[in-house]
Amino acid sequence: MKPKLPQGTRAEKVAFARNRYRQDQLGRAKIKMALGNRRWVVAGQTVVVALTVAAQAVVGLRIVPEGKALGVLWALLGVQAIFFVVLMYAVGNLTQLDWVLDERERAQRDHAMAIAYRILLVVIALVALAVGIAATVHALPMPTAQVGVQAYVAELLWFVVSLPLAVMAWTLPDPELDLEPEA
Amino acid sequence: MPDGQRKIHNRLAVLRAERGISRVDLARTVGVNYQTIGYLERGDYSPSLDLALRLGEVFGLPVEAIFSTRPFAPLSEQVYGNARQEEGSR
Repeated sequence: MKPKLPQGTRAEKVAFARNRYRQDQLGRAKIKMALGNRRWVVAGQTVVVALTVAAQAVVGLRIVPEGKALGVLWALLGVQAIFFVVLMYAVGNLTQLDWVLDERERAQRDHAMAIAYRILLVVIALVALAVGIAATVHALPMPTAQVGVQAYVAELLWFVVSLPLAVMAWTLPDPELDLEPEA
Repeated sequence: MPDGQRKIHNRLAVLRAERGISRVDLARTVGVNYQTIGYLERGDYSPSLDLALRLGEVFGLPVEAIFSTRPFAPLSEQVYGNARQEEGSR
């Protein structure tokens, strides 16, 4: 029998709706792709990120005509968006709000977040070091962010948002054993 | 399970099979995802005290009867081992 919405206060109705949604989620698998496939997606995304960064350097250094390079850059960012959607499909349910997840799922999400932001810290440190060395020791020309600044921001956003998803997709075990709930 | 964390052994799979409860049903009763029950049974995840107590309530057993830091002896060995010991002492 379908439970009826309580006639009480708004808070009671919200609690009822949350509980219904949570109960529904308890019977669903949160990871929807085999580990091997998830790792292919993460590897592909990493390659596209590397290509995007290279394209940004090309744009910033004005090596090629601005219009063409920006076209390639936005196309690569589009491909990254596709990878992001696939990652969201694969493990995105683990990024839901706390009240939807159980304690094991919250622990997995928090662990992935911690690893992701440690990776981010290392990446930022390495980039800063490389830029510092290139600018001071070798006196190389620096890319300027005046060209295609939106693309730089978009790239940073994709990277920061998709990194925890990529860590979860890469590290979480195959859920095949549990995919078919017992009768 | 995070590195360095002591493994917690449990009898969840045996208790569940003994009472004919499915993973989904047990999960709904204690309010976790059914995959979490799989993780617990395989020893891939150690439950919080709250979840361990809820599981104890469901099976009507104390927490230490379900979870242990040492591996459990098989139930058959415990039951028949005890019976043999009693026979031997008579």
